[in-house]
Amino acid sequence: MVVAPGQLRSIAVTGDTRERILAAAVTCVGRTGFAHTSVDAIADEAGVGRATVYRHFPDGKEQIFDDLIEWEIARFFADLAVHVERQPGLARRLEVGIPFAHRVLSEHDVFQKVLETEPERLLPHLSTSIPLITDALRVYLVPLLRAERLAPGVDVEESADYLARMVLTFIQGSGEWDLDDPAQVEALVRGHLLVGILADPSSA
Amino acid sequence: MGAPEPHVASRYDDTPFDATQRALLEAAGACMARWGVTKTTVSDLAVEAGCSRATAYRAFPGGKKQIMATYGLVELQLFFAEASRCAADADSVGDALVEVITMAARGLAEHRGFQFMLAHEPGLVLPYLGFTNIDRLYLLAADALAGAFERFDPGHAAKLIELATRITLSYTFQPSAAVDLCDADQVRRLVDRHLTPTITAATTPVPGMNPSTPLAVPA
Repeated sequence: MVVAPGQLRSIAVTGDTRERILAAAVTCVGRTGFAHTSVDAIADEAGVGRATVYRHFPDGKEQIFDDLIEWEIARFFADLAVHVERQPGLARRLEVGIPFAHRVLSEHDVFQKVLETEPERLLPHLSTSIPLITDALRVYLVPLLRAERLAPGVDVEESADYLARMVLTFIQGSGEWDLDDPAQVEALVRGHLLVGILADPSSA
Repeated sequence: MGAPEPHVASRYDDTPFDATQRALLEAAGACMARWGVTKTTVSDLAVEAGCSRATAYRAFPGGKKQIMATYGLVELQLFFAEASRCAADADSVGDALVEVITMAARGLAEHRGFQFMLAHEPGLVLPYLGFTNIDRLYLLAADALAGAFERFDPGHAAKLIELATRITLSYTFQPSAAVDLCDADQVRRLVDRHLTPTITAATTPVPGMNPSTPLAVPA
């Protein structure tokens, strides 16, 4: 069973209404950006009244936005964990997970919209979330590394930290690699990311 | 209003800028380190450069925005030129990577303007370094350093430089308790473990994965 990044699941889920409001907010912000999204629009989209929105989010729009970022990050990594959980071994999980996560992030309306129009809004969240994400990813990778045959002298914690960092950079930007090409993804994962870590990355 | 006296041995000596423009670029660096980008005005830049506002606008018709953008671009070019010199002096690809990564990490850690922005105006840095524009930075790095790295491994230089760039940015923006890239010994360990083996792997093609092969999952 794959463990989703636990640290990111700090949101108390208080039933469907709250989730529906957050999902509605995601839709609205993705459509018009944060500045042009009103509580009324979110309420309409969610099919609930204004009062209901304020019952779940007493501080209104700002609170919805704060919570939706965390909610989206948790969902993103939960989806990613589910997407790769059937893949046997570390190399296959990375080969399937990196392109999937890169695609989801680059097609993520809210993220791209806010990044484009109001990057300063994401910052406080990113500066607290990214270390947590790296850490969660590192924790996720440690047992996967321990299950592999490692190259001599590998420090599992150091390698997990390195891998977590590299995986995140590839989720953000693909650079020289075409992540839609399975052969290139395989060369990236086995020929670059794992080559110093696994005893035999090509057959892992 | 005449141009200020040319600076002696300016770091902009090899750039195509005239004396006034150089003085304004120096001023941009000084003001950025002191107050950041947002609070700096054209008047601040002119005072720092020892010229009038009118002269500043003649040198850079786009005003503060153009001066700051030019400063950023020139800093980046000088930074890559320095990285390229570090790599050119190295005897092996491993040495070159250690030199470049250490130099880059130290350069960023000691750059007062960059550090001010990172601490107080991260919104100005993020759009360039955080996400969508990051691929452009990888390309710039690969272009700037290709010459120095291709002599070791022609086919693989761009990817190697990109990995080194990713490492430098990751550990700069999110410092690690375990790895300090300003310490050449620690960089050496990182390079030996994760980067140097990519070269031997790249020269021997990675065998294709056969998806139908059952994969052993160690207990």
